[in-house]
Parts: sequence; C-alpha cells; structure tokens
Amino acid sequence: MISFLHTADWQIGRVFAQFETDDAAALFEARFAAVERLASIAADRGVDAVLVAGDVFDAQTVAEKTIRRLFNAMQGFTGTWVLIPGNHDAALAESVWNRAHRLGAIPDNVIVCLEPRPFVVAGKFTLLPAPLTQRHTYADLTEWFATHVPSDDLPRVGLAHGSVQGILPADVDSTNPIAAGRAQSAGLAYLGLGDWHGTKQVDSKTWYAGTPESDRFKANESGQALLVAIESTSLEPIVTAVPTGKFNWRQLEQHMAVDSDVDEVVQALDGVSGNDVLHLRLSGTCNLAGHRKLTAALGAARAKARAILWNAEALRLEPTEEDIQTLRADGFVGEALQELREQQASAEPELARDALLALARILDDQAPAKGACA
Amino acid sequence: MKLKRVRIENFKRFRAPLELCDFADGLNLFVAPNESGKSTVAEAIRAAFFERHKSSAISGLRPWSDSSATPSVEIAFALGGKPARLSKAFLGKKRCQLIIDGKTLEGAEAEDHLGELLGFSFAGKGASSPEHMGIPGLLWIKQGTSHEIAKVVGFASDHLRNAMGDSLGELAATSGDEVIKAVETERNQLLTPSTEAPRGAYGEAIKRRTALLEELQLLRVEINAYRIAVDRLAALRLDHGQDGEARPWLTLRAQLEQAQVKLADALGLAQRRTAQELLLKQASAQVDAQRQQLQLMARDDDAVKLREEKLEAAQDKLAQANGQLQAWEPRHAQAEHASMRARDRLAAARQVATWQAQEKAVTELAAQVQALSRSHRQAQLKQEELTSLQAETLSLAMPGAELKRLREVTESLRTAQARLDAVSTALEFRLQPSAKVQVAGVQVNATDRLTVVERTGIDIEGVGRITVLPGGEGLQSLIADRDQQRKVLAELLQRLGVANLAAAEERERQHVQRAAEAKAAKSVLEAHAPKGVAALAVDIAALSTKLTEAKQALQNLTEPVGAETAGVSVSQAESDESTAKVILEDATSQLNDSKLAVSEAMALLSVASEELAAAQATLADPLRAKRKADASHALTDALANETTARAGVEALAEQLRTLNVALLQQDVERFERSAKQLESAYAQRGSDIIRLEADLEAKGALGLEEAAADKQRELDHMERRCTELERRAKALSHLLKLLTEKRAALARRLRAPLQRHLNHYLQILFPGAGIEVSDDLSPGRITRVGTNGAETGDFEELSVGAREQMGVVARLAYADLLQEAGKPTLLILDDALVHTDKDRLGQMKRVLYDAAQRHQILVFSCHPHAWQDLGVAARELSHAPGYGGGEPSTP
Repeated sequence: MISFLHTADWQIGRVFAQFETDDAAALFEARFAAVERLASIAADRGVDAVLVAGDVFDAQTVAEKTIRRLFNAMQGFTGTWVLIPGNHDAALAESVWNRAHRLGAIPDNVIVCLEPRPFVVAGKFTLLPAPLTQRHTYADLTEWFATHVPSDDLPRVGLAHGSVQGILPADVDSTNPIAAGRAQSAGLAYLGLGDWHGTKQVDSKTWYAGTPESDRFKANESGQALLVAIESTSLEPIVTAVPTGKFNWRQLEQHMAVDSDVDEVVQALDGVSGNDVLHLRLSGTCNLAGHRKLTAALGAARAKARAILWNAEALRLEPTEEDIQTLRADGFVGEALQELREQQASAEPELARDALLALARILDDQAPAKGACA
Repeated sequence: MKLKRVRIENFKRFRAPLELCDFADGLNLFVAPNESGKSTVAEAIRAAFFERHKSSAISGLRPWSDSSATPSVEIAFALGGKPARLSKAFLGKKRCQLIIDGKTLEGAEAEDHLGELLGFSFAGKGASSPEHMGIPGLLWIKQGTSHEIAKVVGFASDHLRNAMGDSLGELAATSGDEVIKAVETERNQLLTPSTEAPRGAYGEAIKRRTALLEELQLLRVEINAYRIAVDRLAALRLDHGQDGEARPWLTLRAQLEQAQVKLADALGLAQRRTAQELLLKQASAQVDAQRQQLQLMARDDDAVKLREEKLEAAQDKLAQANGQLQAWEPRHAQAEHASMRARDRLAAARQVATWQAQEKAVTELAAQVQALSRSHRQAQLKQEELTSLQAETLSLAMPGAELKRLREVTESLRTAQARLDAVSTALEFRLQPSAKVQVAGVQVNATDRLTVVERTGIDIEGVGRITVLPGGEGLQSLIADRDQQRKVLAELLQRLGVANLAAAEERERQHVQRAAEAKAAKSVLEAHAPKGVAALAVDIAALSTKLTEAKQALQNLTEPVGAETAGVSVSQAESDESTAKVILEDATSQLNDSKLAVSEAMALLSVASEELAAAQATLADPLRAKRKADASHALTDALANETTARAGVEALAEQLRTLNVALLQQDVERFERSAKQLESAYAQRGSDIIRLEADLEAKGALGLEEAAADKQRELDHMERRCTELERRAKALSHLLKLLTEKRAALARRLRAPLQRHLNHYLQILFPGAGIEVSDDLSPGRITRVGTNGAETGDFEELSVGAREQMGVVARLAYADLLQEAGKPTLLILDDALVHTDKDRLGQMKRVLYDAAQRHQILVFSCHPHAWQDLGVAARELSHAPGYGGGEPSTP
C-alpha cells in the first residue's frame, strides 16, 4: 500500500496587485500557510511522500527570503517531498532552483527533480518526473514515461506539469502538452499533474491537484490537495480531496432594477466572513437612497471581509422625488440635479453619475441635521 | 411712503424751529444757496430715521454755539396710506416716539419697528454707518455720492433680493451658493481653479504613478536582460558541451601536420639548390684563378725587357751629370779666390775710416771745452754785476703809493700856501738904503715885498715898532690848513728819507734805471749760462772727461799704413766684396746641383741593375715551367667542375618550379590559426559561462521579479487611486460648471424685473442704449449707440457725469422694483446732478418727472435756475417758518 499527497501550483511569491496593500500582503502570506498545512496533513496521514507537480514558485527571481520561507514552511513533514519545476519555475540554465541550492535552503528530505530521471521513493514506488527545462515547450515531456524500461517491478508514478490534450478549455495555453492517456500508455499507477489551478480528474489514474490556496475568482474547486492511496498498479488509485485553502474567493454579479435587488446585494455583503475575497459587479439602476444603502453595506463588509473588489461602473442612478426632497435640492441646485440625472443617458454616463453622487454627498453634508439618512 | 411735514429744532444752524410742510406726493424741490442749511435738512431727516436717539456719536448735529442744546426732529409721514409721526430728540433730552397705525411706540422699539418697515437696521454701537442704511441708504443720495452705487447697492442687496424674489414669486436655491462654494472648494483641492491642472492629492498620485511606471520599466528591462542572459547561458553551455565532445580543432591539427610535412619537403629542395649554386660559384672562381695565374706568368718575360731599357737610360743620365760636375769645379775655385781678396780689402778700408773719425772727435771736443770755459768766465763776471745792481735797485726802491702821496701832499701844501698868500697882508717896502727895518726880527731889504698873516712887529730902527695885524676872513683856518699840510709833508719826507719831492723823484728815476740795468745784465748771463753758472761748470767738467777718453782711444788705434789704404773708400770696398760673394754663391750652388745629379743617377743605375738581375733570375728559375704546366691542368679541371655544378642547379630549379612554398606556408599558417581559434573560442566560452553564471547568481539574488510584482501592485494601487481622483475631479468640475450655469440662468431670470425698470429710464436718458445688471444688482456693462456705432463699457469706466446720471436712474429703477414688491419708497436727491450738463439735465428732469408719478422725490439744489422747468415750484428754505432763527454757520 502506497500513499502520498499530490499537490501543485503553489505559486509562492505571487503578488496580488488588484487588492489594497494589506489584503495583498495577507494573500501573499496565505500561500506559505497553505504549504504549512500541507506538511501538517502529510504528517498526520503518515503518507510516504508529498508530490508537487510544478509551479512551486511564481517566478524565477523571487527574494531570497521567499525561498527560505518556503522550505521552512515544509518542515512540518519530514518524509520525502518531490518537487518538479513548472513553467513559472522551469529548470533553466539559471533558475530559482539553482539559487535555492546555492543558498543551502533545500533540506535533505526534499528532492528537486531537474532532470527526467526515474528514482525510487521510500523504497515503494518509482517516480518518473517530467520537469520543464524551458519556459514553454511544444514537445510532450512525458513521452519517455512510455519508453522507459523498468529495472524492477515497483509501481510507477508519473509527475508532470502541463496541459493534457483535448480536455481543458480551448483558451488555456496549449504549450507544455501532455498526451491524453499517458498513464495508460506508460503503465503508470498514477499520473500527478500540475498547471490547472482547480482539482480535476482527467482519467481514472490521472489528476490535476489544483492549487492549495485559491488565487482567482473562478469556481473551479481550488484550495485543496489530493490524498492518493495505491494498493497495486492493476487497481485504480483511491483519490481523496483534502481542503487546504484558507480564503474563499467569490464573485457576485447583480443587475439592479428594483429596490429588492439592492436588498439582495446588501444581504450578500452583510453575510461576508473574514476569509472571504469577494468581487462584486453591479449594473442596472438604483435611486440615491438605494445607493446610500449599498455604500453603507459595502463599508461594513469591507471591515469584515479579507478583501472586496467593487465594480459599480455600469450602475446608473435614478434619483426619485423623495431623494430630491430629502436632499432639499431646490432652486437651481435642483435643476442641476435633474440635468445630471438625464446626462446619465448621454455620452458620458459615468461622469454624470459621479457628479450626481458628489452633489448628493455635498447636499447631505450641508444639511446634516435634516439629512434623510446617513 | 410720503413725507408730510418736517420740523427741526436745535439742528446745526437751525436753533429756532424750522418747519417744512405741504410736501407734495411727487416732486418736491428745495432751493437755497450754499451753506444755507439745505443739507442740514437732509441730514436731520437721515438722523431721524437712522440714528438711535440714545447715540451720543452725533454731537455734530448740535448748533455750533450751544453745546447743551437738544437737537430734535419731528416728521409726519404716510406709510401705506396711513398717517404716522416720528419725533426724535438727541443728546440732551433723549427721546423717540413713533405713532403709527394708531399705536404709539417709544424708544428703541419705535426705532426697530421703523427699520423693519423701511428696510434698514441700526448700528450696534455709535453712529449709523452706510452698511446699516439699507434701502434708504440707497435711495437717499447724499451730496456728491450719486455716482457711487456698487457699495450702497451691496448694503441694500438683501432687501432688493427679497423684493425681487417676492415679485417673481419664485424660490431661489435655499443654499445654492454654499453648495457651489463647497463644490468649488473640493474641486480646488484636486484641480487648479484657472487651468484645471491636477494638484494636491491628485497631482501627487499622478506624480507617484509616473515614478512607479518608470521604476517598473527599469525593473522590467533588468528582468528581460536577466532572462536573455539565462537563455544565453543555456545556449553557451550547449555549444560548449558539443565542442567539448567533438573537439573540432583536432581535425585541423591533423591537417596542419600534413601541411607542415609538405612544406618541409619543399624547403629541403630549396636548400639543396642553394648548396648546388654555391658549388657552381666555387668552380667558376677556380676557373678564373687559374686563368689569372697563367696570364701573370706570361707577363714575366715582358718585365725583363723593360728592365734592360731602364738600365740603359740610367747609364745615360749618369754620364750627363758627370759632365756638368767637371765643368763647374774650376769655376767655383776661381770665385772663391776673388771673394777672399775682396774681403781683405774691405777690412783695411774700414780700419782707416775708424782712425780718422776718432781724430776728428778729439778736435771737436777740445773746441767745445774751450768755448764753454769762455762762457763760464763771462757768466761769472755778469753774475757779480747783476748781484750789485740788484742790491742797488733794492736800496733805491720806494713804495709806489708813498711817492704818489708825497706828490699829492706837496701839491696840497702848495695850494694851501697859495690860498693863504691870496688873503695875507702884503708889505711892500721902498726903503731908504740906510733904513734899518726888521720884520719879525728879520732884516728887510730895501725893495722887499713881504706878506704877513699874523701879528707881526715891524721894527724900524729909530722909529720904533709898527705892528701889523692882518685881517681877512678865514685867515686863521687857512693858516691851520697850511700848517697841517706842512706837517704831513714833513713827516712823509722824514719817513722816505728825502729832502723834498724833487729828491724823491730823482731817487725813483735812479731806481728804474738800475732795475733796467739789472735786467740787461741778467739777459747776458742767461745767454752765457742758460742753466745757470753752476750747471755750466758741470758741463765743462763732463766734456773735459769725454775729451780725455777720446784722446786715449785715438792713441790706442794703430795708424794705418800701406798703399792699399789710400784711394779706396769703405763703400767701394763693401760693394766689391758683395759682388764677389754673389758670384761665389752661384758657383757653389751649381757645383752642388751637379754633385747631386751625379749621385742620383748612380742610385738609379744601381736599382735598374738590381731589377734586371731579379727579373732575369725569375725567368731562369727551373720550377717555373712546372708551375705553368700545373696551372694549365688545374684550369681544365675547374672548367669541368663548373659545367657539372651548373647542370645540378638547373635540375633543382626545374623541380622547385612545380612546388609553391609560399602557398604551403600559408596553408600551415591557416590551419594553425584555425585550430588555435577554435581552441581559444572554446576557452573563451568556458570563461564566458563562468562569468555569466556569477553574474546571474548575483542578479538572481536581487529577487527582481518579486520586486517587480510588488512594484506592479503598488502601481496598480496608484492607478486605481489616480482613476478615482480623476473621476472625482472630473465630476466636481462638471458639477461646478453645471451649478454655475444654472445659477447664472436663474440670476438672469431674477434680475429681469430690475432690468425692465432700468431699461425704462435708460431709454429716456440714452435712447437705444442697453445695460446689464451685475450679479450684485448694480449697473454693469452699458452699450450705447454713438457716432462710432455701438460702444460697450463698464459702469465704472463712464465719466463722473454719466455715472451720476446712471446712479440716479438705477436708484429710480430700484425704487420701482421695491414699490412693486409693496415696499415703501422715498427718494432724496441732495445736489445729486452737479456734474451733469444742461442737455443731460433736461433728460434727467424728464426721468425724475416720470418717476415722481410713482414716488415722492425730494430734490435739494443750490441752482434754482437749473431746476425751474421741473414742473414744480421751487421752495426756498429761507421762506420757511423759523428760517433765520439760528446764527450764520461756519462749516
């Protein structure tokens, strides 16, 4: 009985530019924490090894501190770690791996496969790695799995990074191809893959583990690792997904038309938790009161969630009579307000809406005591 | 509001009450000359309305002569058709009462109520100031202020706006201006007001974004360079590995070796050719040498013949030289003999000449000694004579001055005596021969003539004594003078040792004579002994010695004897001797030459003989024939060798012609270079790899991509911020423009009624003109049609006169506006149109007359004639009850 933890796409050193500084820092940190959790899970389950299918680092030239921190995060599991380079950290003439090696940061129990050579792990199975030695390759690096003649009868496990032909969406980069049915053709007990950030089964013996900590707004089952148990080569491996992610990346799109739409968004915002990374995209129309409610709910949610991206550029404001009365927008100010409202349908709707909001805010400020609502 | 009656008491020049009644509802014209209190009336009305009755700041209203008086005003007026009465007393007995609507209000309450009704307020403290006067401040024109309007309009603006608002029945924005201000403030935080350029936080964000972009760009460039370097390293390693295995330079090395062998072969042939060429050269040299030797041997025979000829010639020369010698030997002996004889004769002639000369010298010397001795004797005599003459001269010598003095004194005495004689008494005697007469004891002769100068007794024997007492003037002084001269003369004579002047003169003559004689003696002496007598004696002694020596020398000479001594002079002998000598020398020289020629010829002969002997010996050598035969053989051998060597050289040259040594050398060079190049490229690549590795190692340590990602994050953040701020700035700018436009449109609507009233009056004053109403409701730009077409200008740019007219017109328009809004109006013009010309004043009168249809207007003027066509009777203040009760004022 062989057991190992299959993971991939750690993307250590990734910077989340779309977020504010503190949020970006937390998400950066989260990737180290995910590795710590992986080590802890591996130790708890007593697996024979942890196999990492590429893209361990997000870039070749990351800071020295980042390299050292990664290997420190792996300390929780003293068994064998097998790492292969992916397209982000390919084993180039000079690579992050050379640096890690020079720094002496790689512990003895961590095997970094920079060359396609088989080796026996924990005396139980032969590992066939397909490390990327170029950023992009158009040849199938797993081809040698099929031609390799074993010198023993240990089960063989493949580890590769790339796109299995014909199963991933067409828009995914077609470089670093892997032939479909490679596990079958090479007589592998299991083929562990990386590159696709969600967990995905390709065939009975081939899996993408996905990234252990989500890094984008796509509902693709990311944030987990695969626990693999193999009885024998002839049997199918038993694969169990283990959750490893901390942050919950969600995306919400809402077209606003009636007041209850506002309430729904407000409700969603009220329901956020500390580990949520939320992207809200609003369109349609709402009145000033509704907008004030949204703004208030957003403020409250921002204080609770890890990070919120707010996109309301497509939202149009329709001030109601009540809005205008509330603002005491009489005389020429009232006329200006009406005109801005109409301008929202013209060539520069955003400008008109922003000006409308600014006017509403200033009017609110001018009459704080009589203001309709905060 | 209509005034009905005004009563003033104790106001400036009006101490006694002045009452003005029967005010018309329309125009009221009050005329009075300057300083007759017309402004005081206007001032009293203002004080009644505007000044708190308790204010002490208006002490200037008191009559100038009475500091304790209580100025008081009472005004009866109608407001909204209802009668009202205001009475106010200031300073002394302060009081205020307003009776209106049947109510009576007192004090401050009355004042405040009035303010509310008329549209003004009171100063917090002290005298009222223009900003509190509101509508009356605007409508009541003080003397000389009608052209200043903007400020007073400002003070009345709230009231005016109210009036207009009411008239339009439209609401202005409650707090529109504050909204605009807030928007503007916010806009100004992000954009500059003038050009709307980013500033503040927005400006900073843009700057930061640019900086970040640049920094990121730099990082990207570095990352790209790093990537390229990594790829280069991979490529280098690949090439290096391939070269390390293939070692392409080894092939080239093999090719090099082959080329080297070929080249060595070619070089060997060339060497052999060189050796062969050397052999050929040697053989040729041998041929030449043998030929030369044979030629030399042939020359020996010729040499013997030549030597024999030479010997013969030498023998001929010797014979010739001997002939010469024999000819010259006797001639030489002859010349020698002649020369010897000439020498002897010359010696004898010289001996004779010497003796004769010495003899002559002795004679001459003796004569000299005799002559000198004679002179010496003469000189001695003369010397003695000179000495005695000099002594005599010295004894006769008299100082020249003394002699001169003696002459003078003698003359003086003679003169003095003459003078005395002239005045003395003369006594002439003619005596009888027996008579004995003595004068002063001296016997007188018979015919004597005497003179007396002093008391003189004449004793006549027998007769007794007759005393003569000479008289005459100055007699005594003359006597004294003469006596003085006489005494001086006596002294002088005594000193000189002479009896009288004549003696002195004689002595002087003798002195001169002696001196001349001494001089002559001295000349003679000098002729005999120029250097003195003693020197002459020395000369004589010296000459005597010489003479003695000469005599001795003569005695020593042998006196010449013989025949030869006579007749031949020394010079003749010398000439003969010289001629003989020349002849001898010539003979000697010729003899010597002959001898030399002989000896030379003998030497030549000897050499020629030897040479001939040698040459003959050579020819006679038995070995010589053998040597000649040997040489012939050797020449034959050498010629054979030469032919062989030449053939060898030609054969090798033929062989070499097919081989190109230079090309072979180039081949070697080329292969060697190529091999080296490949090797060094390999080494270079090796070191490049090492360098690149080190470089990448160092660069990798910088964590460029992570840094770039971080920078990108910062930049994205800044982009978001810039976008937000830009949107905000744009929105605010847009909003501000919109609000400003809306406000302007509203303002235009609000000002419309005022505009209408203003246009009404303007058409009367300037037909066809148009005027804008400013934001502050004061008159703004005016457009008039003049001779040059339409002209537009600001109100403030108008002349004072035009502004004055416009000021009144504007006020009338405000009054119309206020009246429409149901507000009370009253216009007071205190000398308001003083800068206006006659024509314009005419127009203004039409304007005022028109306005008076709606408003009560009080016009105060000091020009009654100017206003006589206003349509109302002018009222003169002096005719009012109470006028003149006060003292004349001095303002």
